[in-house]
Amino acid sequence: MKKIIFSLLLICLVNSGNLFAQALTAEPADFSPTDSVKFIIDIKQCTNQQLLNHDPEDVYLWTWKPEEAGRPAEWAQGSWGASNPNLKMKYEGDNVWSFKMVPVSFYGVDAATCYAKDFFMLAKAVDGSAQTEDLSLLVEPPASGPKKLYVFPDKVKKDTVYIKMNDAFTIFYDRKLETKPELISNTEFSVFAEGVLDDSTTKVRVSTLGLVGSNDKLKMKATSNDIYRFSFIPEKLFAEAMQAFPSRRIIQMRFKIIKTKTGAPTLAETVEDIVLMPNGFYEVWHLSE
Amino acid sequence: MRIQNIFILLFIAFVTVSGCKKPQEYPIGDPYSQVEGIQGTFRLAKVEQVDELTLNLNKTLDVSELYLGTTPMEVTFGPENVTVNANDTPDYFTTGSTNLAWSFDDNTFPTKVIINNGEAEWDLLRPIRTSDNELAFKVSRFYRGKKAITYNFSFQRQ
Repeated sequence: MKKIIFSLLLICLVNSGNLFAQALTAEPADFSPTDSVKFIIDIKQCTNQQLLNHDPEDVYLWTWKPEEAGRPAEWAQGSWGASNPNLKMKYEGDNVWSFKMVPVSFYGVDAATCYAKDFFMLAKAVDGSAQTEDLSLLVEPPASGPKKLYVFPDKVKKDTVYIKMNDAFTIFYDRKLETKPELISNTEFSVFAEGVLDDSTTKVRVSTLGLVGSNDKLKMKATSNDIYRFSFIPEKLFAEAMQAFPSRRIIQMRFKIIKTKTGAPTLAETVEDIVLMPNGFYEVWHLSE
Repeated sequence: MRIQNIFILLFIAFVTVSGCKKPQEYPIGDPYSQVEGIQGTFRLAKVEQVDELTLNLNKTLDVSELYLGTTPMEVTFGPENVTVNANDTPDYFTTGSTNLAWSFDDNTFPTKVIINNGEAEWDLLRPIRTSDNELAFKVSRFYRGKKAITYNFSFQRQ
């Protein structure tokens, strides 16, 4: 009897490894649907192992969520008996196949739809004679809640903003989430804007801190629900300040929201800074708050 | 048979017979030419910025104040050429030259204005017939291979 119990325990222990290994994974695991991702199917971890030791050149992706019928023609499913050749999976060795894609382009849907419907797929032989079971990968949108400061265009992932110097950019400030007593009941806000040039030392300012309050161009506009906005095109905003440095470029932009007043504000009268730094190319900026 | 039923039967017969009358056919006329419709001068009146990468439901922001200035952009379409005067508006449309060749992708049902044989494309957001006063198109900007931002431009005929 003891032997039987021991054998059962051993079987459970061995199988627990498979229990926690996934047949379908993604690389990177925390991918955004707007970025390139590699979906990986490990036949060894599948319940249906018809494709185990299958011809490496004869495994195709079959996927129906987040979108099947409305996909771009290039990535259409084909038929079960004859897969679309573009959906051929890459053999990675050891019974593992992968398929690389940018989900929003592949499925022809936006990122929100990917998060809402998740990813459902399987691997199959081109003629459907062998396949895995249905596999799914559930994805959650990045957690977000009300923010005191946010921007438009929105940040992608944690801190990346896609703009050029001649694009519109907007900073929003939600005063309802303010905790500083000096700002809670204030109704007029301005923005101190500063650029650091590519010699890393020279700074250009649209107005000095003491004069920001009297510069109408730097005043935030009140919108509904106690939210203030400041919209600008960086190239135009800094144009006058940059006239003295025609051959220089801005490598950092710093924006400080302050209480509109005559003279320089105190620390208690300023909100956190927003800083933008280009990521090599001047169309991808990293934003820190 | 009650007299009330006779009246109902007569009414049904009347409706049935009158419904058989051949309907009058009216000619719908020739479609408005959009090649003619787009000709003229249009002044920028509204600009919306669309964030193509955000997960938020609110993807569009009115940014007209940044693009109109005191002298907004004007575009003048002739039969074959278009001239863009950027004025106070950042010029995302052209390479800075004026008197550019233009064409529709389809003269009957146009969806795009093609500039200089494909140097730029403006996606029309609505028809532009001679009776339309609004010319609306969008321009998308791609950064690092991603469609990141789209601008919807709305012009008024002058």
